[in-house]
Amino acid sequence: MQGRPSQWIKYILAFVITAFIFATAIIANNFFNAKRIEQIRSIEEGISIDILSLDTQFELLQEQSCQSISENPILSRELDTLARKLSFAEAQLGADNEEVLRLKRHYSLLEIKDLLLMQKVSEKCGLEPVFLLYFYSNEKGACMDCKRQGYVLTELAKQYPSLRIYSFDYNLDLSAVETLISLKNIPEELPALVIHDKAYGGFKKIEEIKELIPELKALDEQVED
Amino acid sequence: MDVTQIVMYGVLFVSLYFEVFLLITFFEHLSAPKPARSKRNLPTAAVIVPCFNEEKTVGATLNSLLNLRYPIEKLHIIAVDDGSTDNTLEVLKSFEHHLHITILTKENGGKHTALNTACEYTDADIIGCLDADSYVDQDALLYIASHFKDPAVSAVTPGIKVDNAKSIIQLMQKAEYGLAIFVRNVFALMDAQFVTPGPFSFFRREVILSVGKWNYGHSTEDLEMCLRLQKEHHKITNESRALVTTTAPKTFRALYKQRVRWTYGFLRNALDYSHLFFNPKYGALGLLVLPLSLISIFGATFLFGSLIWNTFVRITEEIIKFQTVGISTPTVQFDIFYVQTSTLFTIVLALIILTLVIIGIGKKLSNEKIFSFDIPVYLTLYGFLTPIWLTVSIYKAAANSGVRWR
Repeated sequence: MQGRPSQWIKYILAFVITAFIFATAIIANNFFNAKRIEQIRSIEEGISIDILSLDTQFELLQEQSCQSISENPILSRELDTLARKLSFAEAQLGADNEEVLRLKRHYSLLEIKDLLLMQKVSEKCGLEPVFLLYFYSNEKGACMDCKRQGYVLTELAKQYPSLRIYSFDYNLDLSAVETLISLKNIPEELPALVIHDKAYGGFKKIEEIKELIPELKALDEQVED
Repeated sequence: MDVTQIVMYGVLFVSLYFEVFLLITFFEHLSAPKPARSKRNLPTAAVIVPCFNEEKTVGATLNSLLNLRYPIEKLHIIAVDDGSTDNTLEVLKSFEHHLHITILTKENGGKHTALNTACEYTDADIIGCLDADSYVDQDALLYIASHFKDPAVSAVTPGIKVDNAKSIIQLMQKAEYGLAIFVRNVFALMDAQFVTPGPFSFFRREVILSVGKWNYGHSTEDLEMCLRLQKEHHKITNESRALVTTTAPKTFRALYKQRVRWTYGFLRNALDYSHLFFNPKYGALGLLVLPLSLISIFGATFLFGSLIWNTFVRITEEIIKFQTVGISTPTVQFDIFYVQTSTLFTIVLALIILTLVIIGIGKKLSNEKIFSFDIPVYLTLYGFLTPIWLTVSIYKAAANSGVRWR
């Protein structure tokens, strides 16, 4: 009996087809991720214009615009959508991806701008909206309880849509966030929350946060009544 | 990219490459003529039916053999009771009045000893085996015999289907056997089969005499015999039209035992025949089929380990979430933005699509309905169950612990 011939061309053809399928999967993934980034960028631009427009409108009309600006659910919802999309893109592309980091910086800036605008509106219009600032870290081992704190805040946001939660990556390389950290005296112990201008380090349960924000309790009571 | 991801993508590349290679080979030979079924110049044939405690099924097995469309004067059926402790022998004796059936009984010694004993009682041109839980189509032997008209052919394997699948485990195997029909067919085209399955594989008598009769083969005598034939460069073809129906294990426990035996047998025989691996003298068998079969065992085990770990992490996260905020209602909102397009997802999808194509072709080859419930069962369950017996088999093979038939 003789040995059998190997069909090298078939081996190479199968390799080329397999490599083509792999390359298609990689290219398609890159294409769709680029589209996602583009969409996030477009949302950010939209929010940026909205904030600037509201700010300008407020400057122009002063107290007359209180009603239209003070409770601005659309912008709040847009920021929330943006946050979720950014988080998905982060999971797809990796937290170290340059494009993701750039978008995240932009998002943080938008949050700060929104926060400042809302503070200004509250002051001028005599409103008392509740702000909650949340500082977390994605770095390995830097914040063991950030995931849990995230669950708590997501649940709170679901229960109280009027509660404005602003999340910031503590380690984000952005001077505005660094300034905020320094201004609000954010402790190094993460997660950290800022409620009524006071910073708290470490994980806080839903009940503890409700204790710190009596306005939420009042909302609960209203619902019960 | 970490080591886990590199291994994962490596395993996926190899799996995809294998499926692509099989499909290219299949379509390359699509128009090749198959031997015609003819009643002229047929070889004399002996079918050995080894039995150990098969009282429930052996009667139907023998009846299916008696119904074969094959010249009666050229057919010899030898049923061997391998020391059964049930009524198998009594059932066999009820067939004694058929002149071309020989009933033998011996002390229990394993399937290979039953086959070897029966070989002493025949001088037929071709010798085959039929497990006592399998049943043949009427034309199966005619199709198989037609291949032996080519003097270069040493052995022929059939197409095997699952009989009357009722349980979920049997449905899963039904689709798997469909896939195996395709794979065996293509392996034969590549001259790379490494198992001559118990249900209805046939061998030329002089080939058995030249390479030697059946060995214990680590409880997989059919695999060992095939590797022995391949080692001597014997030509083994496949006839997917020669359909055999087998009784697939009904429960997971029975399936697990069967598969541990098969995989253990493959791993131990792979060691015994390691010189065939990566040996260009053995063509696709040495360069592709044997190495990739071995890699797939370890690869599937690795992927399963990784899946278990990821599931554990996910469940832990959900538990922590529950402990933190209680039951949280998920917000369901469709947005095309979140549609999964990751590289891993697309590659796995491509792999599943090719597997479906292969199962479909296998089913067409065995004249079965292409679209049926067994396919979703297979896709859902197989990937989760297989690694269980693969892991145990690897451990047993490493420890050379041996496996039991039942």
